[in-house]
Amino acid sequence: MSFSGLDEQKLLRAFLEESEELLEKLNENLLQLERDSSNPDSINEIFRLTHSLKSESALLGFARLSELAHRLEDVFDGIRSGTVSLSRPLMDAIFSASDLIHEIIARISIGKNDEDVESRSVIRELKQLAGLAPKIGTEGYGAVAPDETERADEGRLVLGDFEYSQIMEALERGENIYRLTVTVSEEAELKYPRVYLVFNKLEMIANVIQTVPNITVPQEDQLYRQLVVLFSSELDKEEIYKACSVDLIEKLELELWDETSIQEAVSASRGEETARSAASAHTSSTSRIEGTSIRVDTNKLNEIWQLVGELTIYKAQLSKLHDNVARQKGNESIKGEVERASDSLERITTEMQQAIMGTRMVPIAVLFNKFPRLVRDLSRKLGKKVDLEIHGKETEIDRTIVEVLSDPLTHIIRNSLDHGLEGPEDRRAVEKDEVGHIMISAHQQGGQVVIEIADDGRGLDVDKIRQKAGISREVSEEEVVQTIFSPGFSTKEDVTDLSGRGVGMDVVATRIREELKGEVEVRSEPGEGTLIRILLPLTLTILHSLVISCAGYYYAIPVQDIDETVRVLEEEIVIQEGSEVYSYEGNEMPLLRLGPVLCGPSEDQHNRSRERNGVVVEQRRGKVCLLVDELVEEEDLVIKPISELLNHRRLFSGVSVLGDGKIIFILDTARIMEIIETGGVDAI
Amino acid sequence: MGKKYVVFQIGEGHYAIPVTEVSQIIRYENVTDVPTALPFVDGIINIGGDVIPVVNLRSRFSLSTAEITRKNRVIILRRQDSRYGVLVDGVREILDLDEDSIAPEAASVFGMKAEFVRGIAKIRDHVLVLLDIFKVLSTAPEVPIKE
Repeated sequence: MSFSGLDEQKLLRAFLEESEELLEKLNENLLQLERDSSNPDSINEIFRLTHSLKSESALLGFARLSELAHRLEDVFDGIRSGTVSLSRPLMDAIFSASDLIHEIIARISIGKNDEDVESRSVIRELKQLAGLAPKIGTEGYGAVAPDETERADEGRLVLGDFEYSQIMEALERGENIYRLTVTVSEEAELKYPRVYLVFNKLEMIANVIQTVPNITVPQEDQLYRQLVVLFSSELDKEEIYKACSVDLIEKLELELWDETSIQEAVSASRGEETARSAASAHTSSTSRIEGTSIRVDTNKLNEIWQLVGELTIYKAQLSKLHDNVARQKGNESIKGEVERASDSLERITTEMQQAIMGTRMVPIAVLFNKFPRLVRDLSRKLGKKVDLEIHGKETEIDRTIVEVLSDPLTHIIRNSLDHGLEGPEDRRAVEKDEVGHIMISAHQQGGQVVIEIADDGRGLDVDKIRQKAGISREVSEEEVVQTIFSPGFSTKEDVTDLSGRGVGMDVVATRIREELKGEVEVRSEPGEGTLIRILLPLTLTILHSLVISCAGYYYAIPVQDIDETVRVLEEEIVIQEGSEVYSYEGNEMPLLRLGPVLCGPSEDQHNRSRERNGVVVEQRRGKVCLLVDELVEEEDLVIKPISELLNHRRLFSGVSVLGDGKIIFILDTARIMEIIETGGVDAI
Repeated sequence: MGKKYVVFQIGEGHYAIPVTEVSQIIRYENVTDVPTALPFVDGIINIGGDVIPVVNLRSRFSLSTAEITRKNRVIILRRQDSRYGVLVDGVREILDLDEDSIAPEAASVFGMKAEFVRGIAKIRDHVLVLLDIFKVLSTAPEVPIKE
């Protein structure tokens, strides 16, 4: 008994996707439960989660995982019914079981199976602490079993117009209509997988019209004691029986429907549907709403995004064509039509672009939800008392940014706990509340997302930083603390397994700045605490940029990097120590002629006009003025990665294609600053 | 049945790359010059909104450049998410090659940088060089193919 290869792959993928969400919820509810051990909502939710994990993993043949989930389910069944009390050691055992589940799923996701995972000791501990005698055979589902009214509904097919038309089409093809009732023995564990196998086999030889209960949306295992399938097939009864035989199925009843039974079933359904919709009016308020989202592979979204990009290009070509047509004489009515069509296309394309943009965005909760557990575990390990506050979980950010952001953020929080917050005694000694506070927040501000991590710990040791980095007394404290982000910096004297390992804030800063095009800064008050603020773009795929031209080619500078655009007069350019400096209104900053950098030394010669366009770019390192030929326009550019073959000097951060097919290179301003600092154009 | 190869010509030499590495073959049209690119990069082409670099294999192999004729083709290669174009003098044919007919040790015959060569095959009257095209495309300074 095995699924066909494709089916198994599909099931596995679906399982992994679902379990990701499931584990997150499990974690969340466990933490909730730890704070409030009598919360019935968390207990019920955890019971439900472990239960579905048990069934789903069994369906895919992950016996270890299923057993582990099963034992957890037992424990929570006991807690629900009051036979098991939730002690601190039991809570710890539950957490280790949940960790093991995480680990097993991580293994499965990289293509391994769960067989060589050692789960016995965890299970033994769970059982002992919960005081559960080993159970034999039966399962303790008492409370989940459907009540009598639900049972009466079991197996009743509800045939709407869609089902009716499927039946009619099948009859026209000369197929028979069958109703199959599959009954699994009451004692059988894992009923869903069994009936699913029957369904799976049936699908190969028949056209399934409906199943009751719905087999494609797994529910409580107990509901699958009986499965009713309505299907059409050209095969006869005997062939069907043969085709769908599966072990441990108690009974298979197959019934051939004639015209009359079809009509009866349809009219019965119609009456019932009216009754149902009336009844649902008062039940819907209590029923669980799972939300109306579906999971979509990111690659598919990228594909759509790509296509919309192409559409934008052709839209621009069309409107150009329209402009040409408009200039010609005659054909007035056609011109009007072309104009309307072109305008509509433009509007729709823009809206579509925005809508697809929206699908890339996810609430930052997907990231923040990991932190309560992290803080819990770490604070216990360190013997510190910590209260974690999280704000702005609903703030939306590009999915790709979330992925990269996870590690740096985790590291910052570890640092806060490890180095920032004092232990309870130290805190009492300085008359602070012995419980330390960490606050994580996110909000959108303009085109950026601001993330802040604040603690009320001891703050950074400015003197030590000054000493270690060799910074003079004249530099202000605000500036000194920023050096924790400089490459190779770390104030840690002894290495713990927490935030030691040589990975410091410098690595955090590099990832945020280079991979995410973001900014990070720190503020610290001795004895009061530390605040780390991260500024991130909403998305990495669209960049609001200034398009400029230089020696006949087009380039773009991200608007977020631009301080101002200026008219540079020849006499405002002075030479200082061999380098050109732009000096105006008392300001001085390095000046870089982009032409020679991009197109070779001869490229600035023919452009010796007295007044030039300058773009003042501002970065952490300071300001620089870039001399360009023309300022063309501001534009939202869709950024694509650039091939190494075109970027061996790493001058660009990406490339974009304009509406008319024009290709634009995006200047990497940070790199250009670096070039100036390390000795100018000759160095690259 | 052996693997399928695309056979192309540069100067007098015949070269082959596996069909599985090729995404499409197009004419040399609408190639935009890029001043910042490496010397052996002729420019870029825009295919479906993607910006693809075009490498001139003549320059890459330090041969004299030739005028573009109607025989020239750009072979678009795909590896993972990236696409590359290579300009060749002409595409000859698609050929089935048995593993047996490929001699890996014969790489030195041409006096060519061994890391670019996967093997040599003799087809009818000429010698075919099986290229490791992605090594050829790496950004290391160009290496003369012939000494």
